[in-house]
Amino acid sequence: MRHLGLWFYNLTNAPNGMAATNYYDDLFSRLIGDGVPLPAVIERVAGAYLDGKPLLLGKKKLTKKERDILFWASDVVKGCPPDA
Amino acid sequence: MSLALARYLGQEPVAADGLVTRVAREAPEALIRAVRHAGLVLKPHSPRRVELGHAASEAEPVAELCRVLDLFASAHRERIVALEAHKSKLAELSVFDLLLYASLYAFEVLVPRDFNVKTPAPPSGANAQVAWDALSDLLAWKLAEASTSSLKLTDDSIGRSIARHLRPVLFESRMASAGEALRNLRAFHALMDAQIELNEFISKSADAFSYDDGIRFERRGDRLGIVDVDPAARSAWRRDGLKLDRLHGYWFHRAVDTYVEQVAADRATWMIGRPENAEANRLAWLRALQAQLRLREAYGVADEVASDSGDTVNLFRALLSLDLMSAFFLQDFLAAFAERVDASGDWRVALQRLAMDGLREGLQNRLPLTWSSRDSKVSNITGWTVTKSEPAGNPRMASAILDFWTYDMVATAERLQRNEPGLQPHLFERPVLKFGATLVQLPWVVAMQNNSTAAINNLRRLGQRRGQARDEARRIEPGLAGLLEKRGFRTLLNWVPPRGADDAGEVDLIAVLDEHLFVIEVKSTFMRRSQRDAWLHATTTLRKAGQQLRRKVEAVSLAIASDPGFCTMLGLAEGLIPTQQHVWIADTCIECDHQRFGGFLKISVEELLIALRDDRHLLNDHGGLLAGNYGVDEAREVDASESGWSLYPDGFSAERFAEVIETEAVWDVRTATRGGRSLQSADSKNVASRE
Repeated sequence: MRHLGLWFYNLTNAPNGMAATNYYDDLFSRLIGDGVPLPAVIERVAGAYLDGKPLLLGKKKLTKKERDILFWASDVVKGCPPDA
Repeated sequence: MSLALARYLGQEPVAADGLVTRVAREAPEALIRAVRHAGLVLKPHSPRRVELGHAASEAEPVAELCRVLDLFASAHRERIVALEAHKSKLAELSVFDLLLYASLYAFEVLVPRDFNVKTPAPPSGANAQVAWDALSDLLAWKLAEASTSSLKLTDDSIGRSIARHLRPVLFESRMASAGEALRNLRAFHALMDAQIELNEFISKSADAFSYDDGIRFERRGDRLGIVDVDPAARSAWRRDGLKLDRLHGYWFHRAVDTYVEQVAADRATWMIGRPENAEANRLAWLRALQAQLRLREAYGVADEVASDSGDTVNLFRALLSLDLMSAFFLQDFLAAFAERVDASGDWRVALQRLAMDGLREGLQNRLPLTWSSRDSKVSNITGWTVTKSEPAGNPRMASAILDFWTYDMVATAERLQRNEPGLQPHLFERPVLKFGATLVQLPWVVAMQNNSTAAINNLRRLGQRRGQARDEARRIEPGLAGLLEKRGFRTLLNWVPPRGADDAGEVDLIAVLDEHLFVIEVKSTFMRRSQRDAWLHATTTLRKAGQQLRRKVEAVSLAIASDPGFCTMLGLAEGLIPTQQHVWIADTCIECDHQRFGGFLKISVEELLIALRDDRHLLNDHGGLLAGNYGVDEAREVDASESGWSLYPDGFSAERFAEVIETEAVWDVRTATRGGRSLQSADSKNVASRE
């Protein structure tokens, strides 16, 4: 990730069977890579969470609780600037 | 991110270590906003509330917020304790017993004493809607504890309940045998007061704290006061309520116009039923037309809908049946009761005489609550399904109509007892209460309720998962497209952009005229009654619509620039690119009207319809039809003339259409556009129908 020199993502937070990657961090990286400004990127990543995305992780259907864990453990959240 | 934080604070299973403390330190105002929006005020035992307490030392405003939350928690607890104490006194009552006391309470406290005024009001100054809501909550309490067998009423069990709880109050109130029933009635009054107190605390204090951004709660010692911080935000909710009231009037005037056409085509439609009932029946017919037109044009509901049992229901007949029930209960119960109160000065004597007169006039049930077998009810409704092709009526349709308005007590009790989530009908949405093979009705609800809202919410709130709901949402778009085309627009419906990395999804409606491009996202939901519901709608459906529209507009712009086939579909000649773009969210509900989501204007479908039909004069009741002074002031009728109210006095154009929507000209009530003198403000005399 290219942002904010954040804390290291703790893989132990990933629920059983989940890939050791984070959808929200991946989305963040892709949007930053596309040149989207940081405030808009954060809004869209948070928007994805609020809209209940992702539905699936690989072939596994995510529960709301698993999505919550994934989002709140993401580097996007941990490195989110105060003005966001 | 503030909304996401509110989501975190509103849930319990997942903990993010240090998050709340960090936000308290770095952005305390954001945390305070999120705490409010999370509804944490009513969750004092949530682990998130504990995290907030730990974070209080990071910033004084957060510490103060915790003190405010503690005061709310204490006030909430007090009210719950009081309510539980009152419930324990009536724990032995069955659901039907409870409805008997509710009906006595209603005739004492809620039923107006004068029906010859424009707005009949409860004698006690009570708010009927608030009382109905409290009763719905008490009904849910009883249902959650009721055995299935107690919910299957028989003549025997009804007779026992009446003898023990109703007869003593009405006919033996001076006798010792009435002691228990009179005590129960007093206990029911206290129970209602406690439930109303709790509900009002939640809606006017806790929900206001959480979802009304126009105010702030300030602590003064151990009391809380409300401070206005944004009067504009505060008035938005009330203003939307006034618009809703005026829309009810708009559809009533449309119904009158339609009825005049029906009578002109067939004189037989003037005389409905027996001559002595013809006037009340005509009003019922008008109200059914009013709801049908609205459901058809604004909500896309077809003329036939499916009931819960899967049978097809003719929507107009279902609406008419309910409106006729309302007319019957209003005339034969409420107005008859008011006459007898006027004569006797005593509500109990009046109810007694009403019941006895009913018995004398052909053994008719005129008790404060009615019941009948399903077969008997079907037989009554069959008479209301008479048409030329079916002069004896249609029992199967009557049966389906009954199902359409039925609230099944057993099914709801079973769901509540399984702790399954689900929607509980409001009493007015499903006014026929089903207790096994017996159907119970509350005349004091059915006679007074808004049947148009009942129908909309029956279909769009309770029935949101019906198979037809998606088709209905999709039917709104061609309706709007048809009106746009009549005004000269080229339209394109449900265009799907090529799939890309940032999938835009289907664009509901695109319209082009005079180098103006309109992109419209249509949302179809139900009528909301609380600020909490409105806030949830704003932060879910409307927020998402704003985000979707951004991608859709990008896709449309790209297609115009690069896809000649797309331009051809919109009638855009080669190289001609619209210079003005208008992007709107058109929603069936009025909430958050003229606010922006993702930068895009949110309007109502009904505003679009009125702007395109150019009939805003029907919003304003200038003839005085609804105010009850029709024909009194001829000058007002002149002002109501359509030409004076045209939104397009210089002819329709896309530019003016956009201006009409963006300046809210549809809602303007101050001046006619041509030839009229200044007109009075309708807003000043209407009272919002929502809390």
